[in-house]
Amino acid sequence: MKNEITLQTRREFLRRTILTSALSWTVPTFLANTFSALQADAMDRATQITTGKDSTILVVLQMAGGNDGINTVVPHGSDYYYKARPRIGIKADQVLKINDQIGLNPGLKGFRELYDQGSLAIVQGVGYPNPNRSHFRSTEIWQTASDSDKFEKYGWIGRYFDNACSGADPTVGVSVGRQMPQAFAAKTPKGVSVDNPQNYRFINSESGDDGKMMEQSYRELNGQMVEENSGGSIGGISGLAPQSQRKGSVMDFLERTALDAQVSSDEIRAISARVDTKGAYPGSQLGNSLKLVAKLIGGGLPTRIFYVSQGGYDTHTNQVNTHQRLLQDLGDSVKAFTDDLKAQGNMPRVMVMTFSEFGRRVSDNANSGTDHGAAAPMFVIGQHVKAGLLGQYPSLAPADLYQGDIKYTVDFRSVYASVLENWLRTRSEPILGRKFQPLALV
Amino acid sequence: MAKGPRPFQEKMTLFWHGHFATSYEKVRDAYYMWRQNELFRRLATGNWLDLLTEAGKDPAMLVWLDQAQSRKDHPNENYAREVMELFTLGEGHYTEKDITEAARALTGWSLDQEGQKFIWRPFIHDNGEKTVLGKTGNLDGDDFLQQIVAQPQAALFITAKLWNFFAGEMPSPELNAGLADFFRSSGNNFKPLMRVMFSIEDFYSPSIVRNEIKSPVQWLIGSVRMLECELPPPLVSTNLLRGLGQDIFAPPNVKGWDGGIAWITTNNLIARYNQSALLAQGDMSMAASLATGPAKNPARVKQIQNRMRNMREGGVNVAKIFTEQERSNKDLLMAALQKRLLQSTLAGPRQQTLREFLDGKTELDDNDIRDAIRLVMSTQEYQVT
Repeated sequence: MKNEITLQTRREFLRRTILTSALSWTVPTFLANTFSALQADAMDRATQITTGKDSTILVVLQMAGGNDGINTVVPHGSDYYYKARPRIGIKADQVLKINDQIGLNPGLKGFRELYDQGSLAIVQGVGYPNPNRSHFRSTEIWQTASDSDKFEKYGWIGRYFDNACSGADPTVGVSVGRQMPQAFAAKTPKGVSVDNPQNYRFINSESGDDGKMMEQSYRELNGQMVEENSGGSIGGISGLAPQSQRKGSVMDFLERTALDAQVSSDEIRAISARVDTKGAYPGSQLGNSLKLVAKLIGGGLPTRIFYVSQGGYDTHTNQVNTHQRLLQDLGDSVKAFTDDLKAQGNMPRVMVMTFSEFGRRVSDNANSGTDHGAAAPMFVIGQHVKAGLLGQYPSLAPADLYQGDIKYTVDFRSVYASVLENWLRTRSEPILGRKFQPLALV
Repeated sequence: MAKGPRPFQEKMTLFWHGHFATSYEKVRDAYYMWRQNELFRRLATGNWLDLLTEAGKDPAMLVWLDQAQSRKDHPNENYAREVMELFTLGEGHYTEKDITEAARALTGWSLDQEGQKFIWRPFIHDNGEKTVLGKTGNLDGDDFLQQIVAQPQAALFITAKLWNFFAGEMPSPELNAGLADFFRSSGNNFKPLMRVMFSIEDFYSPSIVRNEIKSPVQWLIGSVRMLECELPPPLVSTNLLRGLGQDIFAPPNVKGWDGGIAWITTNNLIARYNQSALLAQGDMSMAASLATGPAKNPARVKQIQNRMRNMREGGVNVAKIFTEQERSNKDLLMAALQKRLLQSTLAGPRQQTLREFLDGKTELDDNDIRDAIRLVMSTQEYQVT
């Protein structure tokens, strides 16, 4: 499972050095043209090799439940906003203003600081054609980057792994939690899931020599991929169905997962013990997740994609305080995260991208909440992010709405394309199925 | 399921719980959740239309899919959609128009909060003519469900889902058609269907036997039965299952649990290996992390956790499950371990490792045998059924 760095030609060496080191943005134009030509050349050969410890990292942050974008990036300059939201509209004097039209929810102080520092980009009005308002269907659409009337088996990150990360360490993708997001589903399953490094190991009930024997046996049992049809019986057990009648896929999957678990467990625990974090994280699940990610990055885990999730955004009733609390958790957690990255010197390598399965309706409902909607903003945070506003804030004028929802101005796959091409340095077409125009995000 | 006289009924109840996936997170009423569970238990192997109708009128479902809030001037489409998409027909076998018309038909089905039961409110029922799945008239909810069950697709859908749950894979089109035909001819009754399902050869084909990944519930129940030990106390058990990825009474969404390989991630797999220490060796340190007390007094919680970490409670009664010869003869023990825990054998190299572990001890005491059990439970083979 080692990363193989093949430097076959001088061209390739130059291409790798310049295009994969995230710091050299000041390449003169003529060289840039040459190298983009070289890159196109290399792309044709379709071999992308991850460079392990120093490559760029993406942290995908899911806001689960359908975040109310209109109360997140508040259009305080719009009359329609206050007309449509008599119960939950946020007063202009509470909004953290960005300009005279829009501002951030009062809970997002952390984001406000990042915006002022030039590390936050707000992509407005992100959605897709024919929006679906079902939680799991729309989440599936975002996770698989499919059209809303098609079904894709694999996730967009999984396809990235398949396309660009063959042979990479199992920890190339890390999902903080107990489940793997559908976004990671791939032809060659990759990635590990972890939430508590303390428990992420074979917890031995024995100690001393007995303990050592247990540990060793455990490692042997789980540390190998056994070949098919080797289910012979040593002890002469007769009359039992041989285990070797496996389909290849289920047992194979189990063995691979077991192996990945062992390898990643050692790596992750070593880092977790060694690295300390200093950021002021909230004591929430998101705070803890990002704290762990900061540790793992600081410890040099060769991960390229981290996935964390924050739940609770399905605010159908009495949303104002709940929503603000969630956003405060979000802003504070991400801010603490960036503080740690800066202290580690890793800030230039990391980009955080938030998403939610849909936004919410323009009008509030009778329960001082909102129902499922469509477009919403995405936040992208990083040192190399082109800070500011991207896309267009969708119009709230009733005449411009579609079935009571704002219309999207940016297809989410353009955002994915930007991240894939300009940050992860890989062609987006094979991963997204077709060409989506990247934004000027990075 | 672990100790009761009717484990199959319990397993069917679990199936219906996952099928009509209703979560406490939204229903927020333990009585309603219990009632729904009892309904599933009562009608577990009954008639499909009966089960559908009663489940649809049950308070938990009325809350879960917002039917309780639906009225003729503002029909709520959630239940109408999900009942066709997820419970009976599957996407592609109805139209959006069917949904809106069905939602109209369902108006009037409501919840009497005080009486905690279904109530028919004629004043909010849309009395107009509707057409759903080809049937026209002043339809109500009962008519709608009847019309669904009359569709050939209904039998195909539910038999396929049952097969997948018990066999671990979707049936081939021919098998599915056969099962559906039989089901319909039996009057859409589950008892005869399940009897047939478990007696046909296909169910025992090599591609099915020992190829399904156990759900956390199966893992726990199966383990407790094979080890002939007690189920951990309810709070520990539910936390344990949650740690393995299955939150009983709170499925992740209305689709239920995906099952299959979705149960296994690096995190969950390690958790299974560690929970096996709780069952096999009585090692309480895993339970310590599960017995999450009220956060108000973290110091006290830590105290309890520390005490638990040093406790050994119970663990398998080795003499109960292995004979004296088996316990004293390593060859016999190898065979007995694999037979009891796997009903099959470990892959060659893994058998060797286990044997080497046993050989590393001169005399095997009860503790050593428990350790061996724990090791077998920490293999890939143990995860399939």
